[in-house]
Amino acid sequence: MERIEKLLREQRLKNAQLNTRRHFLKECALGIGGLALGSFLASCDNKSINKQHYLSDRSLNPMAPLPAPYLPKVKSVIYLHMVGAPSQLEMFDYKPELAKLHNQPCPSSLLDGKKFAFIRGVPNMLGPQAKFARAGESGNWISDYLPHFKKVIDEVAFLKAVHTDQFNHGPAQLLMQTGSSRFGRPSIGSWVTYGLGSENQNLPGFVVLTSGGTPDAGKSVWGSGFLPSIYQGVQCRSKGDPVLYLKDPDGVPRHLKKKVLESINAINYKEFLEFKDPEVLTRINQYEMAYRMQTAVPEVMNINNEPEAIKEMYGVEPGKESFANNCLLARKMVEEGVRFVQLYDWGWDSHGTNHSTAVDLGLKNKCREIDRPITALLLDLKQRGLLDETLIVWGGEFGRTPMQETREGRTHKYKGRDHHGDAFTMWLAGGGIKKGAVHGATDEIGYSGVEGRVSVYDIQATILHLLGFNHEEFTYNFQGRPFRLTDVEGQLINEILA
Amino acid sequence: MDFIIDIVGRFHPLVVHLPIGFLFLGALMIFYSGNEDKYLPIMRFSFFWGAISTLLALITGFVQYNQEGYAWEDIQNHLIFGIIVLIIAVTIYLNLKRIFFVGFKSRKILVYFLILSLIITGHLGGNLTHGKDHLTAPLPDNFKAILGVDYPIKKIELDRVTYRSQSLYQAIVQPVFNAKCISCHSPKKKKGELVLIDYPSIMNGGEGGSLFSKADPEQSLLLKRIHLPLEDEKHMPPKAKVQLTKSENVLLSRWIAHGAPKEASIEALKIEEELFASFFEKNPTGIYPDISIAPAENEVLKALKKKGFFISPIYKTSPLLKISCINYHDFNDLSAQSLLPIKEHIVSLDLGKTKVTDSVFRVIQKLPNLTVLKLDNTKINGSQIELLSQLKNLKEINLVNTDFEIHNLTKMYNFPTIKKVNLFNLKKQFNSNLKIPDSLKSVFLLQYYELEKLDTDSVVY
Repeated sequence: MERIEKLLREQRLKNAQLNTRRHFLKECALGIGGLALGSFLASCDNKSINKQHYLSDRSLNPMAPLPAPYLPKVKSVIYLHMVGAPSQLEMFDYKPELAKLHNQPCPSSLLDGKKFAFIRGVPNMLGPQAKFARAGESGNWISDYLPHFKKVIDEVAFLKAVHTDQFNHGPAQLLMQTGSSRFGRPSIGSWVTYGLGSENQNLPGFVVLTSGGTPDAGKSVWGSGFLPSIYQGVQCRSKGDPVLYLKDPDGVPRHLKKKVLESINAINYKEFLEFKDPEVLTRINQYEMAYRMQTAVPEVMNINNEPEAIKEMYGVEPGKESFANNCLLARKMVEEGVRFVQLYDWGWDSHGTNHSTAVDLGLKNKCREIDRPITALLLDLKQRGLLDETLIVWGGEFGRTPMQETREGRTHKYKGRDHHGDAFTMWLAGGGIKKGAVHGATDEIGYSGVEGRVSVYDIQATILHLLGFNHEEFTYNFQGRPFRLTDVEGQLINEILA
Repeated sequence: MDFIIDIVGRFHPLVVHLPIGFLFLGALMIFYSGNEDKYLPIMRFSFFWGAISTLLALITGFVQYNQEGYAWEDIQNHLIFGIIVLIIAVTIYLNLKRIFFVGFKSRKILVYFLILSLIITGHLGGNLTHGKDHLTAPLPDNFKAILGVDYPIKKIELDRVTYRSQSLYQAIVQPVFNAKCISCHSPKKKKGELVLIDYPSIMNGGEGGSLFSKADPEQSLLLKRIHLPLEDEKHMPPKAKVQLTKSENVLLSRWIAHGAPKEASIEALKIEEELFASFFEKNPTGIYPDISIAPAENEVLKALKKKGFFISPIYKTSPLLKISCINYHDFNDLSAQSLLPIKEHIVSLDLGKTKVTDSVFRVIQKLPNLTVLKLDNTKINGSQIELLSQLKNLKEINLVNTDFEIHNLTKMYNFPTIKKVNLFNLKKQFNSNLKIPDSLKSVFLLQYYELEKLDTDSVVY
């Protein structure tokens, strides 16, 4: 021990001898010259001056919050994705003319040059199976499949002519959520957490809640693509452990686990210093986040503590996996500062091949399952003053045909509709959205958009805009070029912005 | 040792100025010395060092090209002209040394070429560092259009107060053409023989004749082409270019409907205000006060962050701050004092779920720019909330799920700028015979929403 002290003393002495006054002066002369030179050369750089006043440091914590480039309208997003593609013709897009054409053969003008997922031959037209009525002060149309939703219809802005170029679930879901129909791009939630980070240190910034099953495109729809993997969505389960493997193993006390994690992180940090691989930082932060989440997540995921009135309002079923539970959880998450909450509800693929996919039977059940929870979610956010700072997006990956589905020339026993990307309905509500607005319209049978057509990219651009981004400036450099969520497309849908 | 090469490359912007000096000096001396070699030793000296420094500039330049990833297409001409300068400089030097003999006249021609290539090299180099538009940027847009230079689209901005006295053509029509049409319809490009840079050229029309139809303004060629579907080949502006906005579209139609006048003012044409809404300067701070103050000290913020505050500017380049205690639930009335060093900067304060009580208002009342205040899920009962009445920017207060006592509501009636107070409370539903003045009913939100039970709720199909 004493020998080390001696050696250290010697090291300090040698160091002092090396750095004499003469050495100091010599260094200064060069140093000041260099500084001056640096400022001359700086004028050769034509980058504009960055006006950012406050430091934001991401070097150690990739989830550290960053300010939005522009003043954001909303803080959080709740994205309700109906997996399988809900039928707009039974929910929001009222087409009385289609009813008159019910059971008549589809004119060939609608079929020529079109590709369908299943329809072959000439199908018959299928009239709307729901009854429609105007509701609210806005007088917007709504079907009797959604009796509660009337109460909040004035809060939402409808997009009646959304179109996509994908007609199969997986690619269409990927396009909707990642801006590309192929694998490998980051999802919207990942882009947003990459751009804004997470305000709450104990919860992930991007949470995914599913009911009924996993989307066809798999977990890639909430993947981080080429972004560091810390930005991928964290799936929380509403049944059993909210996040898998979060509990301490049996016999390992929390403080011991902390010590172990600390030492692992210290070693990982050394590795990071050597190789500068952002995935190592991701690893460190995942460990730290998991440790903090151990107490925070079970608390926020516990809906039993909610008052009865609220549970009843949403129609929750504690202990089960349900869309209603997920809606209530989404509100709790947003309240706790989670940036992006993504809900996937499975079971909307109304082909009419069986009872549960019939547009006059199974679809009604699906609508009942979401009607009350979504209405409750909007009202609950509103009464808590959160609706103005949250954006709610509802939609599927495409829409459904005005024709009855036929496969190999045979009509199904039940009434069903095939996949259809040319025109379908989505709606947005919350901060920055024009209440009661309707943008876009479809033709008389709801087959294609005739005005105000918006693309998947337009919706993504609008979501980013409300969070304070210009979607054309928000890029990530990968493989030698900057990438955007909206690729080279996307126009703001100003018509639904307040 | 790679970094040394890198540094060598970085000296290129400095070294390039040396040959310019030496060679210009030498060139001037050649002109001034006439037909006799008056300054011969100095001329040799100039060209010697001129050639050496040109060589150095070439070497550093080449290194910089390799190190900093310029594209070959961008730098090739700069490099080629640099080499030409070197060749001519060396030739002149050899000539002065009498190693290579040409007459005075040929030498002068060489010098002309030298100066020309020197200027071209320097200009191309400047384009690389300062951008191609460095020299043309200060020109007025009209000049740029005539020169055929691309320039960034200037946002059309109108003054909310005075815009009505401006002529519609000057205020909107020409700026829209400037922004979205003249990159192709200028004297330089003249696509379809159409030029849109000023009133006479617009009136002239193009290949297809006049842009306007007096008989049926809506059928005017200009509007027809704009209204064609985007996919149509004849749609203007072409699909890949920036399109006209809805209000620009409508305003153009109105202008044409009025006979496309040059002078008529917006007032005289009686055009409604909402059509111009998108051209008014937008307040970038939204509901927050539009003030410019020096940013807070980063050191102060660092200390606050260490305590557990979440601090963020309202957007990237703003000095105004949003503070939240989302990770700082132990925050109490005493900890509030620590916010005073940045009291001017705080516009949004979230104290939800913390341990604050009403005495925190003594501190909060000192935050002059506070606009949004969140106190949800706290023990606040409103007994001292009147202290906030002196805040001149306070617009929103969230008192959801607090111990707020409803009789304290009247204390907020005279808050000068209040727009929204959320009072929803799970524990106690306020009695409905509370008399809030009609004018304030939309401000104080006590709603408690319930969803009635419907028969259909339990029907399974």
